[in-house]
Amino acid sequence: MLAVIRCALLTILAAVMAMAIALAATHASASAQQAQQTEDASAAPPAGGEARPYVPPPDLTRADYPRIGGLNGRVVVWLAAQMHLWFAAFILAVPIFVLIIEAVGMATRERRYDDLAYEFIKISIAAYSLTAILGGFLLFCLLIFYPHLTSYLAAIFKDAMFFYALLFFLESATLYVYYYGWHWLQGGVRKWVHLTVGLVLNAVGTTLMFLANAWLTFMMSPAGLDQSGVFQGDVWAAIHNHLWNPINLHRFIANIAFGGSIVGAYAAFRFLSATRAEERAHYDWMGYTANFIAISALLPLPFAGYWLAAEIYAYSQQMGITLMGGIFGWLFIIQAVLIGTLFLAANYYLWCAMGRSDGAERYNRYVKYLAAVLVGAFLVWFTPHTMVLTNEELKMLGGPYHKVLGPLGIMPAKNVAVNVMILFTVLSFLIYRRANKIAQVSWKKAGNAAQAALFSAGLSNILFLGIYHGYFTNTVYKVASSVPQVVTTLVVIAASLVIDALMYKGARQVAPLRWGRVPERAQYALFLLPVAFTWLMGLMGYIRSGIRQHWHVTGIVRDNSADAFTPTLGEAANVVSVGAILFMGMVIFVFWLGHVGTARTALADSTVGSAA
Amino acid sequence: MADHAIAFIAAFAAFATAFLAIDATLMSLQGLSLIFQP
Repeated sequence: MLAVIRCALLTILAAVMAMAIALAATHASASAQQAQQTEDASAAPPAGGEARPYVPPPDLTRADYPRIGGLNGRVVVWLAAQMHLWFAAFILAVPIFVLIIEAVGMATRERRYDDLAYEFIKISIAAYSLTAILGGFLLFCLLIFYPHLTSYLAAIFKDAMFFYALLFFLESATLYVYYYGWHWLQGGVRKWVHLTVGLVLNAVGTTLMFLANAWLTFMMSPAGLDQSGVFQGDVWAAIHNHLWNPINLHRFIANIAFGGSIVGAYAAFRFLSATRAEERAHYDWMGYTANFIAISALLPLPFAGYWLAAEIYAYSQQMGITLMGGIFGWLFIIQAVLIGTLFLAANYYLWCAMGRSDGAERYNRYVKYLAAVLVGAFLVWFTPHTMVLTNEELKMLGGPYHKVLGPLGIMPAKNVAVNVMILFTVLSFLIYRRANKIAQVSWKKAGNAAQAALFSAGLSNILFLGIYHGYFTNTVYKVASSVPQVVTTLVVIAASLVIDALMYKGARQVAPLRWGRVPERAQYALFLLPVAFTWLMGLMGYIRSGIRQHWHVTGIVRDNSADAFTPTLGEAANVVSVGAILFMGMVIFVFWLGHVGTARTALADSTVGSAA
Repeated sequence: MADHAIAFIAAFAAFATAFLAIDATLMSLQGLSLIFQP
């Protein structure tokens, strides 16, 4: 019954979304026709020339922004977009790692992976309808508060929007089959069919995200327009704008990290509230897997972010300087604090999780060194370049920069810090992995020496590039040297994992791993991860959007509303924090629904069992 | 212990050389020299 209600709800929501998009496209088409008629009436078309099918960008006045009661349109749209994005990120990520876990279960023939994958998607299923509701709400808010801008964008992207609506139906259909057909499509060819459906679900979901990304990146780096901002008719040019691919990559990776952290928090909650040992063991394993997913995606994320920022600079230096050199620079300090918190929490979880192993005591003494390096890198990362100072403070400091800490405020120091944090997180993971194992290969001493040498050489190279090129050469070298730094980190990660896999092939276990034997405080690290991720996404999303400043579409459609100003950091942080609390509340509701469903199923099973 | 140290030094030299080669290649692909500036 619950399943039927969910199906019906999703179908209705899909229809509402499609209708809303059709409404937007119709509205855009009508506006375009009206504007065309006005243009035709006021100016004769050029002799022998064809009438242009697209209207010029709207030149807006304050009267063009409807107000409803005392509502602030910008804040309403901001919150609606942010809530939709958080849920969309979550529901796009879950099927990706569910598919991977399901495939692992099929390859290893271990039933527990299949059960885990099913549990992940089951607890998040209600989030799909919430995403659709919020998407519809956002669209209506855009039509109400920004009708002219929405019409302009819909006139350009109407083809893409139509396909978006169709894909939404396909997404819903594949999701139904994937989730409700899970137990039906088991074994042999049926399992392959199920995996294929999962693959199609992910392909459609990712395409949907890419299409939506095109609309927002068009607003940042418009393309396919002539000099007066009139669309030239090439939709692909508008979609494939300068920042589209950097955003696509960054969001794809970030979604996985975000989704993993959210289900990790669910597992942590279930672990803490479990009363039976088997239940604790299960949710301990679930939390570990979720954390592994989140951290695996978190490690390459700074590189994707760096590429995005570099492309923003490449597109517009002014935009780049606003991004990191102006008022938003301070939000990057908050970003550094939050990302540092993520790394520290993830490492702390791994160190606590070593308690599952009886062989961990051999490695416990190294943890303090790992912690010291991570904290040191964290401090470097969030050291500001300049500070807001009074005249007295300026005099005491002898200038705007601190004599000793000042050099740590610029990007080369941050690049070194982030690469070091990534490598030491990998080191924590390697130590966690080997805590319960004893290598059996004859070359294990040489292997350990090689791994130590690999990390030492890699870190030396990162420091050399960061210090020499960062402080003793010009800007071109400074920026260019970040590329070999990234490659060094990737090489160290790949090579150390290969050496580790070979060295611990056929390794003996010290004792069976004791799932469930992990301190309860480790679970709070799993709570911290999604909170930090959510807040981080909100703040950085605000920056990404805010760097357009007084433009709806950079250089094309000017924002002439009463809200065409950059809010203070405090105000922005308040809006994002309210959104984050709302999102967390709704996620708890989603998990509660999933839990209620599980409880009902368990009750039904026990009733059937006792009747039999 | 001495074997361990020798293995470490040999591996460090090999990896450091490899990393420097990667650095030089990637910098030259960007039209820059690794050490010397114009």
